[in-house]
Amino acid sequence: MPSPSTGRLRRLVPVALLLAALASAGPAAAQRGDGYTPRFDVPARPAPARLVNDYTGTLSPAEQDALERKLVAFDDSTGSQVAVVIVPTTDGVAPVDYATEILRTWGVGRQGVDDGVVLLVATQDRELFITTGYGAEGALTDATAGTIVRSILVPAFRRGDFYGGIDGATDAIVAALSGEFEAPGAGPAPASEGGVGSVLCCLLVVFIVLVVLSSRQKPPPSSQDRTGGRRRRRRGPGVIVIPSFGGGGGGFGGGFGGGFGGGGFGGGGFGGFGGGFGGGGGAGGSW
Amino acid sequence: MRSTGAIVLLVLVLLVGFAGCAGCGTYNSLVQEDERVEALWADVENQYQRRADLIDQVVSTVQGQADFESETLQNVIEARRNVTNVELSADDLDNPAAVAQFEQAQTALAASVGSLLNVVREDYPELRANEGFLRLQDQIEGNENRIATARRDYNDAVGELNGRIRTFPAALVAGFAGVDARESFEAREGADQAPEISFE
Repeated sequence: MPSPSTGRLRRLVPVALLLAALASAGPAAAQRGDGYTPRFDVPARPAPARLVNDYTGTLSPAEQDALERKLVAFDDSTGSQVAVVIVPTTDGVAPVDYATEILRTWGVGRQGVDDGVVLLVATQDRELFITTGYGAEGALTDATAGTIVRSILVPAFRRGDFYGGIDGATDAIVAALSGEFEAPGAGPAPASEGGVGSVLCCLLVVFIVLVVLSSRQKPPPSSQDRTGGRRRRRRGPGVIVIPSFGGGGGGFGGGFGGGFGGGGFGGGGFGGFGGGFGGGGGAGGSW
Repeated sequence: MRSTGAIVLLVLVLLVGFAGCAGCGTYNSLVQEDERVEALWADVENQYQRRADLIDQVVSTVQGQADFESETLQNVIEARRNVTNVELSADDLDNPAAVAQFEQAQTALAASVGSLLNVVREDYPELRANEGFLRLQDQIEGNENRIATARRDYNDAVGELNGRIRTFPAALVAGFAGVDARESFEAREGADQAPEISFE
Protein backbone atom coordinates (compact mmCIF):
# COMPACT_ATOMS: atom_id res chain seq x y z
CA MET A 1 0.00 0.00 0.00
CA PRO A 2 2.41 2.63 -1.12
CA SER A 3 0.02 5.46 -1.75
CA PRO A 4 -1.07 6.45 1.81
CA SER A 5 2.44 6.13 3.14
CA THR A 6 3.87 8.13 0.30
CA GLY A 7 1.32 10.76 1.06
CA ARG A 8 2.45 10.85 4.66
CA LEU A 9 6.04 11.04 3.63
CA ARG A 10 5.25 13.88 1.31
CA ARG A 11 3.76 15.76 4.19
CA LEU A 12 7.04 15.40 5.98
CA VAL A 13 8.97 17.20 3.28
CA PRO A 14 7.84 20.68 4.36
CA VAL A 15 8.74 19.77 7.93
CA ALA A 16 12.20 18.74 6.85
CA LEU A 17 12.61 21.91 4.86
CA LEU A 18 11.44 23.98 7.81
CA LEU A 19 13.91 22.27 10.11
CA ALA A 20 16.64 22.84 7.57
CA ALA A 21 15.77 26.52 7.40
CA LEU A 22 15.70 26.83 11.18
CA ALA A 23 19.02 25.16 11.68
CA SER A 24 20.73 27.11 8.95
CA ALA A 25 19.68 30.45 10.43
CA GLY A 26 23.10 30.72 11.99
CA PRO A 27 25.07 33.80 12.95
CA ALA A 28 25.22 36.56 10.40
CA ALA A 29 28.40 38.24 9.23
CA ALA A 30 30.07 39.79 12.24
CA GLN A 31 30.10 43.57 12.38
CA ARG A 32 31.28 45.47 15.38
CA GLY A 33 27.76 46.57 16.26
CA ASP A 34 26.11 43.19 15.83
CA GLY A 35 24.16 41.92 18.76
CA TYR A 36 24.28 45.30 20.46
CA THR A 37 21.45 45.81 22.89
CA PRO A 38 20.78 49.36 24.11
CA ARG A 39 21.90 50.04 27.66
CA PHE A 40 19.31 52.69 28.43
CA ASP A 41 16.71 54.82 26.68
CA VAL A 42 17.73 57.56 24.34
CA PRO A 43 15.50 59.34 21.80
CA ALA A 44 14.37 56.90 19.10
CA ARG A 45 16.06 57.11 15.74
CA PRO A 46 14.22 59.93 13.94
CA ALA A 47 11.85 58.95 11.14
CA PRO A 48 12.21 60.37 8.58
CA ALA A 49 15.91 60.36 9.29
CA ARG A 50 17.47 63.72 10.06
CA LEU A 51 20.96 64.71 11.09
CA VAL A 52 19.89 67.73 13.14
CA ASN A 53 17.53 66.80 15.96
CA ASP A 54 16.52 69.50 18.40
CA TYR A 55 14.18 68.14 21.07
CA THR A 56 14.18 71.41 22.99
CA GLY A 57 13.24 74.10 20.49
CA THR A 58 16.55 75.85 21.12
CA LEU A 59 17.20 76.35 17.41
CA SER A 60 14.72 77.99 15.05
CA PRO A 61 13.42 75.86 12.14
CA ALA A 62 15.49 77.99 9.75
CA GLU A 63 18.64 77.40 11.79
CA GLN A 64 17.94 73.66 11.92
CA ASP A 65 17.44 73.57 8.16
CA ALA A 66 20.68 75.44 7.51
CA LEU A 67 22.63 72.99 9.68
CA GLU A 68 20.80 70.03 8.17
CA ARG A 69 21.66 71.15 4.62
CA LYS A 70 25.32 71.55 5.47
CA LEU A 71 25.60 68.15 7.15
CA VAL A 72 23.59 66.33 4.47
CA ALA A 73 25.90 67.83 1.84
CA PHE A 74 28.87 66.54 3.81
CA ASP A 75 27.27 63.08 4.07
CA ASP A 76 26.56 63.10 0.33
CA SER A 77 30.11 64.01 -0.63
CA THR A 78 32.07 61.89 1.85
CA GLY A 79 29.68 59.40 3.46
CA SER A 80 30.72 60.56 6.94
CA GLN A 81 27.75 61.46 9.10
CA VAL A 82 27.70 64.19 11.72
CA ALA A 83 24.54 64.24 13.84
CA VAL A 84 23.53 67.11 16.12
CA VAL A 85 21.26 66.15 19.01
CA ILE A 86 19.89 68.69 21.48
CA VAL A 87 18.04 67.29 24.49
CA PRO A 88 16.92 68.96 27.70
CA THR A 89 18.74 66.48 29.95
CA THR A 90 20.62 63.19 29.87
CA ASP A 91 18.68 61.95 32.92
CA GLY A 92 21.76 61.63 35.06
CA VAL A 93 23.70 59.61 32.50
CA ALA A 94 27.23 60.80 31.78
CA PRO A 95 27.15 62.87 28.56
CA VAL A 96 29.76 60.61 26.94
CA ASP A 97 27.64 57.52 27.55
CA TYR A 98 24.46 59.22 26.38
CA ALA A 99 26.10 60.45 23.18
CA THR A 100 27.69 57.05 22.53
CA GLU A 101 24.35 55.35 23.04
CA ILE A 102 22.75 57.63 20.45
CA LEU A 103 25.58 56.99 18.01
CA ARG A 104 25.21 53.25 18.46
CA THR A 105 21.45 52.88 18.47
CA TRP A 106 20.90 55.27 15.58
CA GLY A 107 23.88 53.89 13.70
CA VAL A 108 25.49 57.22 12.85
CA GLY A 109 28.18 56.74 10.19
CA ARG A 110 28.69 53.93 7.72
CA GLN A 111 28.58 50.36 8.87
CA GLY A 112 32.06 48.89 8.99
CA VAL A 113 33.65 52.31 8.43
CA ASP A 114 32.16 53.70 11.64
CA ASP A 115 32.84 57.28 10.63
CA GLY A 116 29.99 58.91 12.50
CA VAL A 117 30.13 61.81 14.95
CA VAL A 118 27.46 62.90 17.43
CA LEU A 119 27.43 66.38 18.90
CA LEU A 120 25.22 66.16 21.96
CA VAL A 121 23.95 69.22 23.81
CA ALA A 122 21.94 68.92 27.04
CA THR A 123 20.54 72.38 27.62
CA GLN A 124 19.25 72.05 31.19
CA ASP A 125 22.35 70.14 32.32
CA ARG A 126 24.56 72.71 30.55
CA GLU A 127 26.66 69.79 29.34
CA LEU A 128 27.84 68.89 25.87
CA PHE A 129 29.84 66.11 24.27
CA ILE A 130 31.33 65.36 20.87
CA THR A 131 31.64 61.60 20.45
CA THR A 132 33.35 59.86 17.57
CA GLY A 133 32.76 56.53 15.86
CA TYR A 134 35.66 54.09 15.81
CA GLY A 135 36.60 55.10 12.28
CA ALA A 136 36.43 58.84 12.98
CA GLU A 137 38.77 58.76 15.98
CA GLY A 138 41.90 59.11 13.89
CA ALA A 139 40.75 62.22 12.05
CA LEU A 140 38.87 63.85 14.90
CA THR A 141 41.03 63.03 17.89
CA ASP A 142 40.00 63.56 21.49
CA ALA A 143 42.39 66.47 21.67
CA THR A 144 40.87 68.10 18.57
CA ALA A 145 37.37 67.50 19.92
CA GLY A 146 38.47 69.03 23.22
CA THR A 147 39.85 72.06 21.42
CA ILE A 148 36.57 72.50 19.53
CA VAL A 149 34.65 72.29 22.79
CA ARG A 150 36.89 74.76 24.62
CA SER A 151 37.48 77.27 21.86
CA ILE A 152 34.16 77.25 19.96
CA LEU A 153 31.26 75.64 21.78
CA VAL A 154 31.72 76.72 25.38
CA PRO A 155 32.42 80.42 24.65
CA ALA A 156 29.44 80.67 22.25
CA PHE A 157 27.08 78.83 24.62
CA ARG A 158 28.14 81.11 27.46
CA ARG A 159 27.03 84.02 25.29
CA GLY A 160 23.75 82.21 24.69
CA ASP A 161 24.60 81.79 21.01
CA PHE A 162 23.65 78.13 20.48
CA TYR A 163 23.37 78.33 16.73
CA GLY A 164 26.69 80.10 16.35
CA GLY A 165 28.43 77.54 18.55
CA ILE A 166 26.92 74.52 16.82
CA ASP A 167 27.49 76.01 13.36
CA GLY A 168 31.14 76.74 14.12
CA ALA A 169 31.67 73.38 15.80
CA THR A 170 30.16 71.40 12.92
CA ASP A 171 32.35 73.36 10.48
CA ALA A 172 35.39 72.39 12.53
CA ILE A 173 34.27 68.75 12.79
CA VAL A 174 33.70 68.60 9.03
CA ALA A 175 37.14 70.11 8.43
CA ALA A 176 38.78 67.60 10.76
CA LEU A 177 37.00 64.64 9.20
CA SER A 178 37.79 65.84 5.67
CA GLY A 179 41.46 65.40 6.39
CA GLU A 180 41.05 61.66 6.49
CA PHE A 181 37.76 60.70 4.97
CA GLU A 182 37.89 61.70 1.34
CA ALA A 183 36.54 58.54 -0.26
CA PRO A 184 37.48 55.45 1.67
CA GLY A 185 34.52 53.41 0.41
CA ALA A 186 32.68 51.13 2.75
CA GLY A 187 34.59 47.98 3.57
CA PRO A 188 33.23 44.81 1.99
CA ALA A 189 30.92 42.89 4.23
CA PRO A 190 32.80 39.83 5.46
CA ALA A 191 31.33 36.53 4.31
CA SER A 192 29.30 34.62 6.82
CA GLU A 193 31.57 31.74 7.73
CA GLY A 194 29.40 30.18 10.38
CA GLY A 195 26.38 29.77 8.14
CA VAL A 196 28.02 27.72 5.41
CA GLY A 197 28.62 24.57 7.45
CA SER A 198 25.11 24.28 8.79
CA VAL A 199 23.56 25.11 5.42
CA LEU A 200 25.53 22.29 3.78
CA CYS A 201 24.64 20.03 6.64
CA CYS A 202 20.96 20.72 6.20
CA LEU A 203 21.02 20.42 2.45
CA LEU A 204 22.47 16.98 3.02
CA VAL A 205 19.58 16.04 5.29
CA VAL A 206 17.04 17.30 2.78
CA PHE A 207 18.82 15.35 0.06
CA ILE A 208 18.76 12.15 2.09
CA VAL A 209 15.09 12.62 2.86
CA LEU A 210 14.33 13.02 -0.82
CA VAL A 211 16.40 9.97 -1.71
CA VAL A 212 14.60 7.91 0.90
CA LEU A 213 11.28 9.14 -0.37
CA SER A 214 11.94 8.29 -3.97
CA SER A 215 13.51 4.93 -3.23
CA ARG A 216 10.57 3.86 -1.09
CA GLN A 217 7.98 4.83 -3.60
CA LYS A 218 8.43 1.88 -5.92
CA PRO A 219 10.26 -0.89 -4.14
CA PRO A 220 11.27 -3.96 -6.16
CA PRO A 221 9.01 -6.97 -5.63
CA SER A 222 11.83 -8.96 -4.03
CA SER A 223 11.84 -6.61 -1.04
CA GLN A 224 8.31 -7.57 -0.08
CA ASP A 225 9.43 -9.87 2.72
CA ARG A 226 11.92 -7.45 4.15
CA THR A 227 9.56 -4.54 4.32
CA GLY A 228 6.82 -6.83 5.46
CA GLY A 229 8.99 -7.75 8.40
CA ARG A 230 9.40 -4.16 9.34
CA ARG A 231 5.73 -3.74 9.41
CA ARG A 232 5.75 -5.09 12.94
CA ARG A 233 7.37 -1.93 14.16
CA ARG A 234 4.87 0.59 15.25
CA ARG A 235 4.59 3.75 13.34
CA GLY A 236 3.73 5.66 16.49
CA PRO A 237 7.20 7.08 17.15
CA GLY A 238 7.31 8.71 13.74
CA VAL A 239 4.20 10.66 14.40
CA ILE A 240 5.22 11.63 17.90
CA VAL A 241 8.85 12.39 17.36
CA ILE A 242 8.49 14.64 14.39
CA PRO A 243 6.38 17.35 16.04
CA SER A 244 8.78 17.42 18.96
CA PHE A 245 11.58 18.00 16.47
CA GLY A 246 9.81 21.09 15.31
CA GLY A 247 9.47 22.34 18.86
CA GLY A 248 13.10 21.71 19.68
CA GLY A 249 14.32 23.17 16.45
CA GLY A 250 13.14 26.63 17.37
CA GLY A 251 15.72 26.82 20.09
CA PHE A 252 18.59 26.28 17.73
CA GLY A 253 17.61 28.98 15.31
CA GLY A 254 18.69 32.58 14.99
CA GLY A 255 19.55 34.76 17.91
CA PHE A 256 21.98 36.88 15.98
CA GLY A 257 21.19 39.62 13.54
CA GLY A 258 22.18 43.23 13.10
CA GLY A 259 19.60 45.80 14.06
CA PHE A 260 21.40 48.63 12.36
CA GLY A 261 19.84 49.00 8.95
CA GLY A 262 19.84 52.35 7.25
CA GLY A 263 16.78 54.26 6.15
CA GLY A 264 15.50 54.74 2.64
CA PHE A 265 16.35 57.60 0.37
CA GLY A 266 14.20 60.68 0.27
CA GLY A 267 14.35 63.19 -2.54
CA GLY A 268 17.32 65.41 -1.86
CA GLY A 269 17.16 64.93 1.90
CA PHE A 270 19.18 62.86 4.29
CA GLY A 271 19.46 59.25 3.14
CA GLY A 272 19.37 57.64 6.55
CA PHE A 273 21.87 56.50 9.12
CA GLY A 274 24.31 53.92 7.91
CA GLY A 275 24.88 51.66 10.92
CA GLY A 276 28.08 53.12 12.34
CA PHE A 277 29.42 52.23 15.76
CA GLY A 278 31.63 53.85 18.33
CA GLY A 279 33.27 53.31 21.67
CA GLY A 280 33.12 56.45 23.74
CA GLY A 281 35.82 58.54 22.09
CA GLY A 282 35.70 62.33 21.89
CA ALA A 283 35.55 65.12 24.41
CA GLY A 284 33.01 67.21 26.23
CA GLY A 285 32.56 70.07 28.58
CA SER A 286 30.05 72.24 30.36
CA TRP A 287 29.21 75.91 30.10
CA MET B 1 2.78 -2.06 4.28
CA ARG B 2 6.37 -1.18 3.69
CA SER B 3 5.46 2.36 4.61
CA THR B 4 6.09 1.88 8.33
CA GLY B 5 9.64 0.83 7.69
CA ALA B 6 10.12 3.83 5.49
CA ILE B 7 8.83 6.18 8.13
CA VAL B 8 11.01 4.71 10.84
CA LEU B 9 14.02 5.00 8.58
CA LEU B 10 13.10 8.55 7.68
CA VAL B 11 12.69 9.48 11.32
CA LEU B 12 16.08 8.04 12.14
CA VAL B 13 17.68 9.91 9.27
CA LEU B 14 15.97 13.11 10.36
CA LEU B 15 17.02 12.59 13.97
CA VAL B 16 20.67 12.06 13.15
CA GLY B 17 20.67 14.73 10.47
CA PHE B 18 18.98 17.34 12.55
CA ALA B 19 21.08 16.65 15.61
CA GLY B 20 24.04 17.17 13.32
CA CYS B 21 22.57 20.42 12.02
CA ALA B 22 21.87 21.75 15.46
CA GLY B 23 25.30 20.70 16.65
CA CYS B 24 26.95 22.39 13.68
CA GLY B 25 24.99 25.60 14.14
CA THR B 26 25.55 25.73 17.87
CA TYR B 27 29.23 24.93 17.49
CA ASN B 28 29.72 27.64 14.90
CA SER B 29 27.85 30.30 16.80
CA LEU B 30 29.63 29.42 20.04
CA VAL B 31 33.03 29.66 18.42
CA GLN B 32 32.00 32.92 16.83
CA GLU B 33 30.79 34.30 20.12
CA ASP B 34 34.00 33.21 21.78
CA GLU B 35 36.00 35.01 19.11
CA ARG B 36 33.86 38.07 19.63
CA VAL B 37 34.72 38.03 23.33
CA GLU B 38 38.40 37.81 22.45
CA ALA B 39 38.11 40.67 19.98
CA LEU B 40 36.38 42.78 22.61
CA TRP B 41 39.10 41.91 25.06
CA ALA B 42 41.65 43.07 22.49
CA ASP B 43 39.81 46.43 22.42
CA VAL B 44 40.06 46.67 26.20
CA GLU B 45 43.72 45.75 26.08
CA ASN B 46 44.46 48.35 23.39
CA GLN B 47 42.83 51.05 25.47
CA TYR B 48 44.86 50.05 28.53
CA GLN B 49 47.99 50.12 26.40
CA ARG B 50 47.03 53.58 25.24
CA ARG B 51 46.53 54.65 28.85
CA ALA B 52 50.08 53.57 29.62
CA ASP B 53 51.42 55.48 26.61
CA LEU B 54 49.51 58.62 27.55
CA ILE B 55 50.77 58.41 31.10
CA ASP B 56 54.30 58.22 29.79
CA GLN B 57 53.63 61.52 28.05
CA VAL B 58 52.24 63.03 31.22
CA VAL B 59 55.30 61.89 33.14
CA SER B 60 57.70 63.40 30.64
CA THR B 61 55.73 66.64 30.51
CA VAL B 62 55.70 66.94 34.29
CA GLN B 63 59.35 65.97 34.56
CA GLY B 64 60.15 68.96 32.36
CA GLN B 65 58.60 71.11 35.05
CA ALA B 66 61.29 72.09 37.54
CA ASP B 67 60.64 71.32 41.22
CA PHE B 68 57.57 69.17 40.61
CA GLU B 69 56.50 67.43 43.77
CA SER B 70 58.58 64.28 43.58
CA GLU B 71 56.59 61.86 45.70
CA THR B 72 53.49 62.15 43.52
CA LEU B 73 55.56 61.74 40.41
CA GLN B 74 57.42 58.73 41.81
CA ASN B 75 54.12 57.03 42.63
CA VAL B 76 53.04 57.36 39.02
CA ILE B 77 56.35 56.07 37.69
CA GLU B 78 56.21 53.13 40.09
CA ALA B 79 52.62 52.24 39.19
CA ARG B 80 53.41 52.63 35.50
CA ARG B 81 56.31 50.20 35.78
CA ASN B 82 54.13 47.76 37.69
CA VAL B 83 51.51 47.72 34.94
CA THR B 84 54.10 46.55 32.44
CA ASN B 85 54.80 43.51 34.59
CA VAL B 86 51.17 42.52 34.95
CA GLU B 87 49.88 41.81 31.50
CA LEU B 88 46.73 39.83 30.93
CA SER B 89 46.47 37.83 27.75
CA ALA B 90 43.21 36.50 26.35
CA ASP B 91 44.21 33.02 27.52
CA ASP B 92 44.18 34.17 31.14
CA LEU B 93 40.67 35.55 30.99
CA ASP B 94 39.24 32.44 32.63
CA ASN B 95 41.65 32.85 35.54
CA PRO B 96 40.12 35.00 38.31
CA ALA B 97 43.43 35.54 40.09
CA ALA B 98 45.14 36.86 36.96
CA VAL B 99 42.23 39.16 36.20
CA ALA B 100 42.22 40.47 39.78
CA GLN B 101 45.94 41.15 39.68
CA PHE B 102 45.60 43.00 36.40
CA GLU B 103 42.75 45.08 37.77
CA GLN B 104 44.72 45.96 40.86
CA ALA B 105 47.70 47.20 38.87
CA GLN B 106 45.53 49.28 36.54
CA THR B 107 43.53 50.74 39.42
CA ALA B 108 46.71 51.76 41.21
CA LEU B 109 48.02 53.43 38.05
CA ALA B 110 44.79 55.35 37.48
CA ALA B 111 44.71 56.47 41.11
CA SER B 112 48.30 57.70 41.04
CA VAL B 113 47.71 59.67 37.84
CA GLY B 114 44.53 61.07 39.31
CA SER B 115 46.40 62.49 42.26
CA LEU B 116 49.15 63.82 40.02
CA LEU B 117 46.61 65.72 37.96
CA ASN B 118 45.04 67.06 41.14
CA VAL B 119 48.42 68.36 42.19
CA VAL B 120 48.83 70.02 38.80
CA ARG B 121 45.40 71.58 39.09
CA GLU B 122 46.04 72.99 42.54
CA ASP B 123 49.69 73.94 42.52
CA TYR B 124 50.80 74.45 38.93
CA PRO B 125 48.42 76.94 37.30
CA GLU B 126 50.73 77.71 34.38
CA LEU B 127 51.00 74.01 33.50
CA ARG B 128 47.29 73.58 33.87
CA ALA B 129 46.55 76.42 31.46
CA ASN B 130 49.08 75.15 28.94
CA GLU B 131 47.29 74.14 25.71
CA GLY B 132 49.55 71.15 25.21
CA PHE B 133 48.75 69.90 28.68
CA LEU B 134 45.04 70.50 28.13
CA ARG B 135 45.16 68.41 24.98
CA LEU B 136 46.95 65.68 26.89
CA GLN B 137 44.21 65.82 29.48
CA ASP B 138 41.57 65.53 26.73
CA GLN B 139 43.31 62.41 25.49
CA ILE B 140 43.54 60.88 28.93
CA GLU B 141 39.93 61.63 29.64
CA GLY B 142 38.84 60.23 26.27
CA ASN B 143 40.94 57.16 26.91
CA GLU B 144 39.28 56.61 30.27
CA ASN B 145 35.87 56.87 28.58
CA ARG B 146 36.94 54.34 25.98
CA ILE B 147 38.24 51.99 28.64
CA ALA B 148 34.89 52.17 30.43
CA THR B 149 32.98 51.55 27.19
CA ALA B 150 35.25 48.72 26.06
CA ARG B 151 34.96 47.04 29.46
CA ARG B 152 31.17 47.25 29.36
CA ASP B 153 31.09 45.79 25.85
CA TYR B 154 33.40 43.02 26.95
CA ASN B 155 31.35 42.33 30.08
CA ASP B 156 28.13 42.18 28.08
CA ALA B 157 29.61 39.68 25.65
CA VAL B 158 31.08 37.59 28.47
CA GLY B 159 27.77 37.56 30.29
CA GLU B 160 26.02 36.38 27.16
CA LEU B 161 28.60 33.69 26.45
CA ASN B 162 28.75 32.46 30.03
CA GLY B 163 24.97 32.27 30.19
CA ARG B 164 24.87 30.33 26.96
CA ILE B 165 27.43 27.70 27.74
CA ARG B 166 25.67 26.87 30.97
CA THR B 167 22.41 26.05 29.23
CA PHE B 168 21.24 23.42 26.79
CA PRO B 169 22.09 22.86 23.96
CA ALA B 170 25.26 24.91 23.92
CA ALA B 171 26.42 23.33 27.19
CA LEU B 172 26.82 20.01 25.35
CA VAL B 173 28.86 21.53 22.57
CA ALA B 174 30.95 24.01 24.57
CA GLY B 175 33.45 21.47 25.89
CA PHE B 176 33.89 19.99 22.46
CA ALA B 177 34.36 23.46 20.97
CA GLY B 178 36.92 24.37 23.62
CA VAL B 179 34.87 27.36 24.77
CA ASP B 180 35.23 28.16 28.47
CA ALA B 181 33.50 30.63 30.72
CA ARG B 182 35.39 33.95 31.05
CA GLU B 183 35.81 36.37 33.88
CA SER B 184 33.93 39.62 33.65
CA PHE B 185 35.20 42.76 35.29
CA GLU B 186 32.12 43.81 37.16
CA ALA B 187 32.38 41.06 39.72
CA ARG B 188 35.90 42.17 40.63
CA GLU B 189 35.29 45.82 40.98
CA GLY B 190 31.78 46.21 42.24
CA ALA B 191 31.03 48.77 39.57
CA ASP B 192 31.34 48.88 35.84
CA GLN B 193 33.32 52.07 35.93
CA ALA B 194 36.96 52.21 35.16
CA PRO B 195 39.01 53.69 37.95
CA GLU B 196 38.41 57.39 37.69
CA ILE B 197 40.84 59.98 36.64
CA SER B 198 38.85 63.11 37.09
CA PHE B 199 39.40 66.76 36.47
CA GLU B 200 37.21 69.76 36.70
